[in-house]
Amino acid sequence: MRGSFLPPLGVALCLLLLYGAAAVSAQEEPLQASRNGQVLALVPEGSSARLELPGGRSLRLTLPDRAALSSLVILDGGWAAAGSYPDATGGRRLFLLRGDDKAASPLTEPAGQEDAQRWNPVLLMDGGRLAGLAWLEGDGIRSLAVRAAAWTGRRWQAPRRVSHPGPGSQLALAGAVLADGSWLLAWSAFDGTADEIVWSRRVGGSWLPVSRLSSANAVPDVTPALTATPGGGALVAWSRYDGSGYQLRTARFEGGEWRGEHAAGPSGSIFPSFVGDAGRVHLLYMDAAPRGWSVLELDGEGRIVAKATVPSPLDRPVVSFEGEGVKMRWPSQKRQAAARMDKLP
Amino acid sequence: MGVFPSLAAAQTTARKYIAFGDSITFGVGDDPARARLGYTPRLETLLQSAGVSATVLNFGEGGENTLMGVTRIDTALAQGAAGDVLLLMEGTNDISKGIGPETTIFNLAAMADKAALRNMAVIHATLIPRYPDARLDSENTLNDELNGRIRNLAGLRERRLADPNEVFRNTPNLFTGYYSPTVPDPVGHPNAAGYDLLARVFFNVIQGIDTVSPVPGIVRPSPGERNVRPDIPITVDVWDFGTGIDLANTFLLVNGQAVAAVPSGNSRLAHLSYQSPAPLTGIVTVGLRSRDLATPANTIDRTVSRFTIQGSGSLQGDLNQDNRVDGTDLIRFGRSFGSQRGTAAYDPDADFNADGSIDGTDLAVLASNFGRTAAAGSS
Repeated sequence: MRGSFLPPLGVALCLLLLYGAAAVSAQEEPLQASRNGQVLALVPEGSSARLELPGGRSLRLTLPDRAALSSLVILDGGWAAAGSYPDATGGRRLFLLRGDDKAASPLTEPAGQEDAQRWNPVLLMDGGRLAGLAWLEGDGIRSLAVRAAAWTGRRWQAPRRVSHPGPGSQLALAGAVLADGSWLLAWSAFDGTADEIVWSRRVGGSWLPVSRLSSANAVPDVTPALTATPGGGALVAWSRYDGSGYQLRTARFEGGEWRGEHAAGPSGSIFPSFVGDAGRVHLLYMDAAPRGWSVLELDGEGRIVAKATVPSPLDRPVVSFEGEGVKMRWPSQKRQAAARMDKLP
Repeated sequence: MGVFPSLAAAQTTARKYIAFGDSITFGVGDDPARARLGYTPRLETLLQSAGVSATVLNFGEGGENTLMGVTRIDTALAQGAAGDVLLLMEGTNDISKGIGPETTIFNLAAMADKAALRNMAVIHATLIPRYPDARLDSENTLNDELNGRIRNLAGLRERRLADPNEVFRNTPNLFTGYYSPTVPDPVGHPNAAGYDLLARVFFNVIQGIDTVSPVPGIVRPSPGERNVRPDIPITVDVWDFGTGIDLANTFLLVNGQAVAAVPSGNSRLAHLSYQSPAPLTGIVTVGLRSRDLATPANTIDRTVSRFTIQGSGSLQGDLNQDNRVDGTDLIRFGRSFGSQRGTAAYDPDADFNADGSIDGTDLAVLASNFGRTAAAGSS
């Protein structure tokens, strides 16, 4: 099956990738990738991470000292992950890994990175093929810009600058590759008044000028998530301050522009991430108070089809779907919960 | 130690102090044998021992960031009434969640405004230093940026400020004596002694006891910035939340030398601005030397920013900034070798990777440049 690299049997192989000295343990949220019904989870465990494979198997990866993981994708015949870590000069560097169910190895990072601070790499996948990498890069934490590089299958092309540093922070980079092969990126950027969601698209190797996704406002719009949709478009989800708390919003990308922006959750709906396959779009978000996690099933227009909520004080779960139900797992805490996806009218 | 008007002085009826924040407010890392964790029960004891009728409620929640807090705070504030006090200390978890400092400050302001709408007083608080092994921002670059903005927020809104960051960073043996070694920790949590100290910081502010020097607000260029223009003006805002800044004894230091930057403003907020007559080169260290009007005075004399001028090709290991890494630098390095941030021997300039520990990694950096001279264009 295209996209399936995981044999039904196998013994987990512990792999040590010696990047640096051991670090103290830290609790970080797991990353997850879903494709063709398969779910991979990358669970940080101090100076290493455990890649959870289907069938209860796992692969241990040793990470650079104090690394922060930011991206995981399932490729044809394997997987890839990306993150960043502090270097000895006070800067921050990218690291990339790729592997299968038996082993992992470093993937060379794009050459031509110019600035010392490099954060939040996002792997971009076209079908089951690695298409590119986007990341934040700058001279300082307040002057990060967006850069991206295409992967030819054997090497990285020269990085291109997608955005310039702005008047403040640029953070929370998200990306997706659409059915036509174009790339979409979205991130939050301070415009002098408040954070806004901005975006750019790579068509034919060139990046369009960065634009604001929504209308201008004086309140923060933060933490976008992006996914391609089966119809050839894309959906974006983020949270905006609504006067009381942060409220989930979604919009769909269609015909080269964003349409249908609307609120998709109650006040206090934050940190969205897309967790479904291309066939069905599922959006996970945190309920701030009372604490919990909700999953929405969305149609291609971004309309809510079904919803499930699990009360939990824990950090982001790994989510999988079985029939009309959803299972949430917290690997670090060895906890799990299940709920039914209730259809909405 | 000076005394300024006390928040608790005129208190005749029982007042609630609503402590709101993350795991550091909750009390993670405290002695588990204690019935109530964190700084809140200690603060309550201190206040009651001082004759203040006070209840301190703990609304700390582990792992919380300000996106979550701005929603949850309504529940906490509902437990109070007009005249009660919100103690607001949150934001360190924003650093790992893709939340920029501008939004963190927006959220803290929104939380404080919610309290003000209920006619509650607000005491803002800075964030304690992050642990040297913190996964993100172990060098405290983002943390310092946030703390400058928190001071700015409190000052501009004319609110009180508890400044545990300034108190903690001036505490000897901070990470070995006052931080928990047992919490698997992305940020750093106090131990029992640390929570004692934290309670004392809040107590002093409530009681109007001034033990904190003038402190830096927004500093430009920011710590850690690189590729900075050689003609950049250096600006440092200085706040004092106690008896006031002694303006006549407030100085800006550039690379260790006091420069002609006459402070403008007043005893609560002073602006220091300096334009170097010659282009800046190399690594530039900005220091603040100041004192307040308390008797005896609370003083500050420390680096508030360290940035790199564009084209410098900064030469790590050049501790005396003579454009060459040589034996003189090695001798200075040797004096601090083996030290940790928070100890007397610690020399931040020798901590080349800014991880809070001057060790073999830093020595390797110096050794790699030993004998080298800075490239043309650097200082």
